[in-house]
Amino acid sequence: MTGEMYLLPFFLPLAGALLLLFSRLVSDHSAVRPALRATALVTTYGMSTLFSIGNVLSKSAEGFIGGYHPGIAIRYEVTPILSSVYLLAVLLSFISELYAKKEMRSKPDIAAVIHIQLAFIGFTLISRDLFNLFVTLEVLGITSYILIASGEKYRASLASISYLLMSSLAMAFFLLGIFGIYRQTGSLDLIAIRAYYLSSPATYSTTLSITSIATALLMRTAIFPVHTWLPEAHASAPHHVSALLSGLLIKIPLFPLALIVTLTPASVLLASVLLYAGAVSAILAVVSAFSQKDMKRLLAFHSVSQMGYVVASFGAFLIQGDTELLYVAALLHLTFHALFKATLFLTVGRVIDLTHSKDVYTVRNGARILLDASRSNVLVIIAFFLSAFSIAATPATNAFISKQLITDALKDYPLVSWTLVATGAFTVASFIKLSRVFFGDKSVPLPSVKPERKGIDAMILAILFLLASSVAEHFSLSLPLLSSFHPYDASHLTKTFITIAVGGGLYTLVRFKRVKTFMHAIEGLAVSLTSMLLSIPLLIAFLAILLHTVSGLL
Amino acid sequence: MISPLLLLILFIISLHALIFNPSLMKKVFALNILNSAIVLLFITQGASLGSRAPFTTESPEQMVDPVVQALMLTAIVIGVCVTSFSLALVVHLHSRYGSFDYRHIRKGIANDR
Repeated sequence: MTGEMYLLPFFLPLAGALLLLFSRLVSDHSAVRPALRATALVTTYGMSTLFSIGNVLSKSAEGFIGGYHPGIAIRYEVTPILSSVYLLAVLLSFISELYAKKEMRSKPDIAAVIHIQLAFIGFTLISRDLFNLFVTLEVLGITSYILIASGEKYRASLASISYLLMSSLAMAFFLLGIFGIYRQTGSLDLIAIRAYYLSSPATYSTTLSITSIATALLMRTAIFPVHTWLPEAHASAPHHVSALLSGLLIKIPLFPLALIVTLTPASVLLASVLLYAGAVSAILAVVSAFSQKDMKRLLAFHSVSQMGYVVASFGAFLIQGDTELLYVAALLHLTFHALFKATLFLTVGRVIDLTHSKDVYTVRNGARILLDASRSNVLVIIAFFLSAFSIAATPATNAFISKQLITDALKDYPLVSWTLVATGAFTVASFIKLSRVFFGDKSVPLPSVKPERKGIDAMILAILFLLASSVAEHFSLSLPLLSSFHPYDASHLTKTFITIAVGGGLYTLVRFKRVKTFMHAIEGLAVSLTSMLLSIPLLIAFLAILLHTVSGLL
Repeated sequence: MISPLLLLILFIISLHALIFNPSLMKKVFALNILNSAIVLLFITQGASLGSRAPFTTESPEQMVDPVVQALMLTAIVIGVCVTSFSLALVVHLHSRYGSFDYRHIRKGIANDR
């Protein structure tokens, strides 16, 4: 691959989106419409995949878009790792679109939004320009608000506007942060800015600017305490959108965040914040998830919790700098979480559609209801249990390796490591609770359901990729970097079985009245829009004071 | 020249309204004013180098910073997109619940479920 050919996979989805928007102008019954849609799918998913594989297999490339003067041009960097993350984005977007293909056929504008989102995921990953990052993140935000509200339910509209207001406020502070940095350095190029701060000391204004930008990115990654927008937004969105947002979109801002955290020598202290915020996020969100009655809210809280693992590992990597194991652990868990969380939303979504209820305590016999609707739904059941075993980190699944790797790599931070182990126990308990939806008393007559076969091709793909990731993960253990890591030795297996047993124990505790009351109290905790919005400036102020005080002490 | 103090006051008033006013419509307006304050801050800073448009002079010392102006044009376009979509959502919610008050709408949605 040469020159700007590297950028091709990121621009192709925009061409796909244009074709889809153009198909709206054509009559519903015209043969041109399906032809345009098919061309859009091949352009966005087929060709992007091919060119991305080319990028993965090539060396890293960097340059300036359009070949303009380095002082004003937008810098980009395409690496094999970023291209792999983009490939994952292509795959999940395709699964999501395949799952909702009926809706996508009737609403080509919504399908076009998914394609635009995919293109801007790519631009966010490769951009090395501060203002360009602002633009790409804003476009990602706008596509998310549209997709969340696309279910046309009032609950989704309220969730979308709440997210919009919180995100726009955070992005306003992001813009202020750009102002502070541009005024000092006269540049928007992240590499030039880093070089500037290596020779000139950072001031209080620099700290405030960096914390403003970092807070906006933390909010998009849904890390405690700025995660409050996520549960309602992801729970009220259509199922394929929840899969896309929870599986993919919340992970993308982590990559620019790593660039911001390493912008000045003093801002690396933010990495410690990531480490501990990740652990706190993981445990608090999993307790909230365990307390939920709404199945999709339960899954949404788990997204916050699992992101805690990734962020903690990412934070530790940024602190230590040279420990590749932490980076690999974070990336692996990020990939596996994307796969199993998207599958969980799609499978649970099928049960919700057939039972017309989201109540985890009342829906039972889900497996029988699914099979009653269509025998091919056996794939939905297989996909659910594969994903549930993965998130619970049971041996032989993909997340078993990544979670063991994270807790091992974090051994220098025992408090964080043990918090993540405790999170694992709650995750097991939570998924025993959710799995009960699939079982029930066989003598109970089933509600009548319309026989239908929906999303099966998406399920086949999801199952294939879940299995392939598990196999690839186990093969990767032979890599030199992981040669000293033995997830199947006695100590790891004992730890896993103790975690699963404690998880089972936690689940049985739910029967006790006091525990039930406590869980209902947690479930009833509603965060007001005022608190959601207030958390942004408060976090910026807290981080700026913390960073300034600690860097002053060093 | 716009005083930075005036922009700070504009920023704080709009931030207060965005966070504490219960009306979703007023929150959208406040967000707009907040963004305008930031855009004006950039423009003011860009004009501190010079006061003439780049195409009217050959001397770089007399020019405003053109990068800042280009950036703010993009920021304004994004702001328009966000505002139009948020207004569509607010009107959609108002058509069902007859109010812009966030608390009232939330209660209505809870009753619907």
